Amino acid sequence: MPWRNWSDDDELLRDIGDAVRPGPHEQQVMDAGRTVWKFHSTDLDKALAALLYDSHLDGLATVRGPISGAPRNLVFALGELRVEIEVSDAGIEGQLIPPEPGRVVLLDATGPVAETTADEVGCFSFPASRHGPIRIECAVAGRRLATEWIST
Amino acid sequence: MAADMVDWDLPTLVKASLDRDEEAWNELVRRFAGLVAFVIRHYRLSPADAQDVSQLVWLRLVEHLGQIREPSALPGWLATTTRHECERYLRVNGRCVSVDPLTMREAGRGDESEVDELLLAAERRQVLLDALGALAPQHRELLLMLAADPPYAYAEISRILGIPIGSIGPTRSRVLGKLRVTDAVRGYLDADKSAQIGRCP
Repeated sequence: MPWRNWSDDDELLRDIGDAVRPGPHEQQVMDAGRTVWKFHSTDLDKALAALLYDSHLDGLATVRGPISGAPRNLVFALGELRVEIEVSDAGIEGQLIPPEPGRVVLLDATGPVAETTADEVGCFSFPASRHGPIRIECAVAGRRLATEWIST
Repeated sequence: MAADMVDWDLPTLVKASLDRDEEAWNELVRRFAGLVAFVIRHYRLSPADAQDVSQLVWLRLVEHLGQIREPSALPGWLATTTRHECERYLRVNGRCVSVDPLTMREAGRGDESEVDELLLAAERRQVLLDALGALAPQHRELLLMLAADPPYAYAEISRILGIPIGSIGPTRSRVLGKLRVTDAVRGYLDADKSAQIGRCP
């Protein structure tokens, strides 16, 4: 893009105007940043399980996106620990590996939104579909972890 | 409002944010929201999708903050992360991604030079904000009124700032001259010049 010429008074003043005026998009992005901090500044110390597999991103060559409504499978990993989830219109079903019971929390950008218990084989579910960024927090093999954020 | 934080450099802001200083985080967000918004706009997402992507980008920054070794790489990291989230968002939500049939390159998926350009635009903007901060308050007020959209009428400026209408024009160009010789603008233009000289043909 051609830069405005700062040697010219009018062009410099136009750049100043653009610089000091947050556009509507920028304001939205700023608000999102403040919201995120309000609810997640305590996330700084969390052990992160990274996204290992996402069925919707498998095969990047596909030009068209996945069929709408098809369940999406994701695997998160921290060392040997795994959190596997399936996201569909019916909600989220998942399993902790190694399998064990425990508390599982679903979070969105505004903090915890649902909580459930994994059964003795590590299975858990959150009925109702979600929209927007989500993550799961749980304890696996005695270790507390949080999955990487995903968009749903 | 911590006004002095505007002067904080990036490593200080990152470190303070890691110490859970909310004002430092807000300043980081304020400083880079333009860059993130710029990239998102490029992908023409709906407002709801743009909202999701911007939340994701900041959530990832919270995740990532502790691993930043080189704070000067943060703008590049933010631009790249925002692009990835936009592309991922389009794909996961089953939207078509338009592809140029000749190159099979996705429209909107810019190459690295495009990211560089966004970063440069963000840098130029920051230079102007720094320069404005270095001006005397009354001079800064004048420029902000003249740069407002729509700009203030001279009569109004005269009334608010208490200067004669006739001197607004000359003051405008004098203050713009002062802005050009602030450390921020001079430093930026000098660095730019030496970059041009050092560039291989």
